Amino acid sequence: MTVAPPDPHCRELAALLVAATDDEQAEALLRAHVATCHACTSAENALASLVRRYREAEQPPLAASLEQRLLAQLCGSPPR
Amino acid sequence: MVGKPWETDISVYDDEGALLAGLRRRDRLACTCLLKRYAPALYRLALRLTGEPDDAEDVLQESFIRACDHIAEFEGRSGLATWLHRIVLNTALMHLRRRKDRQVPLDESVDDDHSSLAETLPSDLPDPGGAALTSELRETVERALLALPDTLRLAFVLRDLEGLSTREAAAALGIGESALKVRLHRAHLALRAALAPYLQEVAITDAGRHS
Repeated sequence: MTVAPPDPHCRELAALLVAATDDEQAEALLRAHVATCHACTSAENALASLVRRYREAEQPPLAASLEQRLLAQLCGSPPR
Repeated sequence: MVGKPWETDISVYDDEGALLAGLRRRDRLACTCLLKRYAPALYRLALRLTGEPDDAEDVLQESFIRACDHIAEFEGRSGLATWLHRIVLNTALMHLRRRKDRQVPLDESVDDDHSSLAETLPSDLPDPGGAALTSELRETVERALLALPDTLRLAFVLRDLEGLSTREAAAALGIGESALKVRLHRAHLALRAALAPYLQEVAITDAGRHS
């Protein structure tokens, strides 16, 4: 399976959306396009997979300086 | 012995019930534990929503103050993490509305306002292979996300990352459901362009795993 970057047709569609004023019409246009465009279907599946992994990934710790600032602001003087 | 808050041992409040009781007693140690335990995930959420580190810090600070002030109202129907999550979400949306009022309108055209943020993230291309998301790839995804204009990023974060329904996300942003869907499509197109090399690898990895 391959995922192509957005092809010229998809780019054209994106450009049309910028000018679209009717959201419902634009949405219908998009839905119809994605349903029949192999490049879009493959890319949407891959993006969904990447997003799922991103959601499941472990959160990095806060930067120490940010944590110290927040603790100082919120907790003030040290706990007793 | 008196120590700095960031050097505090937070294991005393490992249990959520004990932590809640401590917060309701206004125990400063409980406040420290609350922040140390939940701030990393909530900061990432605030950053994804606001797109700016300084704004995310403001949102986080305001959210924790609000949470501590209203802890007596927390009924425990959802977990503490879910409750805090909702507070950050609401606080960030209010913050964005205020920002919109005092600055330029939320514009959907891509701009380079996030260049300073991009500079704080590593630029090395990660190896996108493998099922687990490497920290480098996570940062690449975040960089692409933060480069989106506010309107598109918010639609994507609320719907695809936070899992709100289309109706909930549209209501949170004060727009119609069709408008939300269009923004979501446009966010996908932008992310597909920004992440094209990685999506290719993801597709190959997924295909290999399923064959």
